[in-house]
Amino acid sequence: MRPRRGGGGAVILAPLVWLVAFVLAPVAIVAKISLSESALAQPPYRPVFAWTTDLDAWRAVLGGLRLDAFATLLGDPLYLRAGLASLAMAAVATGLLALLGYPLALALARAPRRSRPILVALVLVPFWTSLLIRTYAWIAILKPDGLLNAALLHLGLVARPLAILDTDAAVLIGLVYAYLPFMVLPLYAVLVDRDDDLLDAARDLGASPLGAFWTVTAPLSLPGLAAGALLCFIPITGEFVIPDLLGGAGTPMLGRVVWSEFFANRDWPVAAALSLVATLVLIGPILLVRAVADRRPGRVA
Amino acid sequence: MPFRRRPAPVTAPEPGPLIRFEDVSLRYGPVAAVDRVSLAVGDGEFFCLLGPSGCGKTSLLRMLAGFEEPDGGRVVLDGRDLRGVPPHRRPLNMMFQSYALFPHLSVAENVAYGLRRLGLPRAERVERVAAMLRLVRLDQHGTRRPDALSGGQRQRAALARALARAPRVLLLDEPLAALDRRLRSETGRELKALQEAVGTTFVMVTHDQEEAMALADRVGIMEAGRLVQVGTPRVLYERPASRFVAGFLGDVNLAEGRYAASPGGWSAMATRLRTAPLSCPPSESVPAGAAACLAVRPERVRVLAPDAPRTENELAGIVAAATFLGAATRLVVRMADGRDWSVLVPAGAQPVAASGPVRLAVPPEAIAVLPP
Repeated sequence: MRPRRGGGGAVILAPLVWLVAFVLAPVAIVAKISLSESALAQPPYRPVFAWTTDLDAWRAVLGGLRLDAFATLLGDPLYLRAGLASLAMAAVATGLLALLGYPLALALARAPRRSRPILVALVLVPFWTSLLIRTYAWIAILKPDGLLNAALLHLGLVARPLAILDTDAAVLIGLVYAYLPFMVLPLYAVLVDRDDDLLDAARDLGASPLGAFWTVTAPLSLPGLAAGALLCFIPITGEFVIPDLLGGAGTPMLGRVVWSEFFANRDWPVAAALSLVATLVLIGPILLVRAVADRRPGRVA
Repeated sequence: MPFRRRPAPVTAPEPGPLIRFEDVSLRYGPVAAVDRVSLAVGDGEFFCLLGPSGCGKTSLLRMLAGFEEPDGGRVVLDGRDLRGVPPHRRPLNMMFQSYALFPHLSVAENVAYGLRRLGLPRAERVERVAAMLRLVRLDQHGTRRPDALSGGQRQRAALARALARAPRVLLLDEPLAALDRRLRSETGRELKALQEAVGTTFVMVTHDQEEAMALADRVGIMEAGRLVQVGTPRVLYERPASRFVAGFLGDVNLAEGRYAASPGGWSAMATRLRTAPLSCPPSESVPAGAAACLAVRPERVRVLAPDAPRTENELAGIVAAATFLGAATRLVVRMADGRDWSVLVPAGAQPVAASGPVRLAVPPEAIAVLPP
């Protein structure tokens, strides 16, 4: 047993303060805006809370809250389509990330011990440049007269430039590129921590090298795969920059719809309601992964 | 019991050995982990490789399992050269020092793992898993995960998993090392009983000489990659071939000197323990007239009463310390050559003063003459 120390309370308090200030309070503000009415004012909604001791004023503000924004979400199929399109895009991108990231993470984890830190650092190097700039770079690569098409034409692989930019394919390329480190690093963390005896034991008990991978390495790396998938799937669902820059008009992803409600339509309540619903929907996969993890209390070794 | 009994080596009329290492070497860079080892292990034998860590005993075991390929020589099982046969195609199983139980599988699933690879029908597999769990008294724990088991239970689960495929040979890498002391002797006895019950050939690796002596039919002692002596525990203890073997298997008192062979009757060792040479058995490893080393076990040295008559091979010494151990008292005696000898006086013998001069006698048959 570890002795209890006096500082224990402060240790718990710090993350609590953090959670309240930076998670709960913003969500509460968004929730409040989603229950308001759009208005031509500054801020562009009403009613607005003001600190007062007058109970009637409070009653008036609370009485002014309504569910109109949520009704709008249900009334216009645009929002449901955008939500489903985002989830589908995130699912496909996460699948591709897993397919690409797993071998990469495995190669990193199996690399000679001395070269591993350098290789992991290389995975992180893109973060030194802003995502915005890197996404613009992809425009230069993918556009009809860009680097990719120039190379394909030069090699004689295509007769005419491929239309990649402004399609879902371009969005997928950009997403997979941007999120690869988020898939690779959690997988690397579980794969590098392997127990050679377990693989030897599998071989000894009649498993081929591939069989040992499928029955030992793969199941033991599932927590890393789940963590990587969550780290990719959730932000991709709300991703704005990449679909906006690389995608066409036919890619109404959630992030773009929220952006246009906020900035183009100045309809803050609908934008807030959309954000809130998306947040609630995305708690789903987190709970799912947690439930799976609880059912399989396999130690990661 | 789902095991075929195999003939014991004594009843079989000179069968070829089950396992043969023929001049096997294994190098890691310039270092020879195993250096030209030749060894034969019989069918049904409990064989133990004993040596300090880094002596190459585990490398030898891993070459048998197929995790390493020898750089020289060959490993033969059942008359078949194992070169190039991958681990999963070798008819032997290994119990790992870490147990290497799969943490994501239950105990029963761990035991079933090797049976699945054999492609046994489900019903047969279930039955066999149940039989194995009963054999190691884990039938109540089949659904548990390995990390919910105690150390002793984990050891038995690993044993059940390794035996489930009814291997020709079971390899055990330090099978008792991870257990606490009390559990170790109990589990060791169980292991020995199990080996006798199933009749499988066991090849065990350990650094613990007591464990090796208690369990094995024969022991091979390794030092720096070489197999230095093979024999039954009794032969190794009483007739060690070198100072290393003598010192590794328990305490030993040593004295340098010169060996003089005499045909018929006792030979002699001239030492600085006393002016007259000591009578000793003829040596197999030291030529007549050569420098040699005399070795005597502490429990074979007798303490004489002060008024006892003169005895053969009598020595004089001075008691420096006496430690009461319960079943015996250990004396530290300063000998004439300046070395300290350890002498075990069994409980019930005449008490000895904890300091001062003492008369000792070494029966000639208790002496081993070794190369210097």
